[in-house]
Amino acid sequence: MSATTAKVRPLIPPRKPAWRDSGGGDQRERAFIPSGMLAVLMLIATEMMLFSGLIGSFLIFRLSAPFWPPPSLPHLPLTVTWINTFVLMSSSITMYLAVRAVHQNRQRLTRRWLVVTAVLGSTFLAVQGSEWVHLIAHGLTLKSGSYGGTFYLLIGCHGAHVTAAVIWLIAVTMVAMRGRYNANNAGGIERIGAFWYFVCAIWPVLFVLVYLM
Amino acid sequence: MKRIGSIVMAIVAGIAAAPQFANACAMCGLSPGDSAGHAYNTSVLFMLAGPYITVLAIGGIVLFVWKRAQRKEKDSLVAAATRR
Repeated sequence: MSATTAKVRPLIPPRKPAWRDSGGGDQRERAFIPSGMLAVLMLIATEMMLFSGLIGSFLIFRLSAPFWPPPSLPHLPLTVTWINTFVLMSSSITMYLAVRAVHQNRQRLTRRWLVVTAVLGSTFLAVQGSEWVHLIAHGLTLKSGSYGGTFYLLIGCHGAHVTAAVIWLIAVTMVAMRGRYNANNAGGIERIGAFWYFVCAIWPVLFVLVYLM
Repeated sequence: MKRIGSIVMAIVAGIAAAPQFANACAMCGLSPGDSAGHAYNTSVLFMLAGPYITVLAIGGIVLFVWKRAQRKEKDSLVAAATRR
């Protein structure tokens, strides 16, 4: 019995003991979402709650302040951040191409797209880091009142998530280099893909709130 | 039991409709210039929406994956039947 002909477990399973035969021969049911992917979805849900709390606290400071940014503090670099946003959004496209390539059993293409995604993610982090060095040199630090504090907290939290995602992606890419992933064994790439999409989806929200508002 | 439930619902609805009780809410009587109060209001509404957005997003993904798996199973059964 192949994986494609195995019966998919219904969304709400019927009430019967697990050891009972379903009556359809020895057909076993398999989960429609693997446990690993379910774990990543739970992780994403947790991180969404974290970001909603952080954004909530940012909104309090932002909306109650008479001037934003405060007159004495430097303005955030918009042009560089627009380009950085484009880099990160492109990495979500390359990640989708990597997932699609592994489902098509095209291992070389999968490795290529994974490497490109990792390079784009690292570029995003490098540009963010250089922006921060620039801002600190111009006087915007963590102690620069609520403006500096919320900026570094929000953007730093997202940066930490991108860093973790890049490290995870590099590990997955190294496994992919050994030819371990194929159409029947694509779970590792799908899991990092899900987390990568989440990290890329959160960024436009933060960009609009912190940089453009 | 149904009658008691209806009575309880009617009492709750009556209390909710009473304007004197509604004005006891601390955030409902904000003046237009109270930026801190409005900021808290907006933040609370945003954070209130957070769990719903999360559940809808994750639930939507799970539903999408389940429907896709059902479709694949149906297609493979049809293909197997056609081969016979």
